[in-house]
Amino acid sequence: MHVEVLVFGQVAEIAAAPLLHVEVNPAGDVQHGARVDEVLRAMGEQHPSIAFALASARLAVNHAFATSDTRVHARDEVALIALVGGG
Amino acid sequence: MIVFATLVEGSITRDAEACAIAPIAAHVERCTRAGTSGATVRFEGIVRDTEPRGDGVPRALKALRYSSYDPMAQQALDALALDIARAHQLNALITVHSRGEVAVGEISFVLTIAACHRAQSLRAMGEFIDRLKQDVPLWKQPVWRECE
Repeated sequence: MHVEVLVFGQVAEIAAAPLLHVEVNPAGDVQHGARVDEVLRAMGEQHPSIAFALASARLAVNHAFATSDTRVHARDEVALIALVGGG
Repeated sequence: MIVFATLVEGSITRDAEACAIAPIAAHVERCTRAGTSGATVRFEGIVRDTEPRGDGVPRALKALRYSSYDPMAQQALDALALDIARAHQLNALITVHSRGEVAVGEISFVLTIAACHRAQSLRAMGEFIDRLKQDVPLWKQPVWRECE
């Protein structure tokens, strides 16, 4: 399953891209999507340069923070919310 | 209870802030005169002239460039403001945050809180700022002076 993940700030700078492509092999039926923790694990494996930011990162799915067992589908808007720094 | 949160382009000057909160200005004025708040606290976040680089050594800064993930940033800011205002039973929570470039010495964040009592308003202020840095998708990137 192919997932596109938007990235921002320092992560986007290091990745030299605003969008990362991630291939996820979800456990179970692919029609049910991939779990957020599966997407994060795949990101770390396929994009090691940004792996340092993933431990404290969260994924937003369709503009809402997701939990580790939230299902991500191919057409969802997925964003990596890492190393935020407002204020 | 007045709860208002917004993002503006560039630094938060007096004029920019007045413009940003214009939709609720009359309401704020009425609440201020009502005498129900025993404490109003205001926090201004200002861009410092140095920032540590990767090696931890402070380097001279020209500005900070703020970016946001929209529309989630506004939604998360609204939700946080409402959550803090309810949790601390505030009379008002008004916040304005910058997007884009803010030069050294200029204001990038303003938070004003009004409550019945001082302790309540100060606790709410600390909690809002801590959670802003965790829950609102805003990023700041340094613009180094030496890159001019």
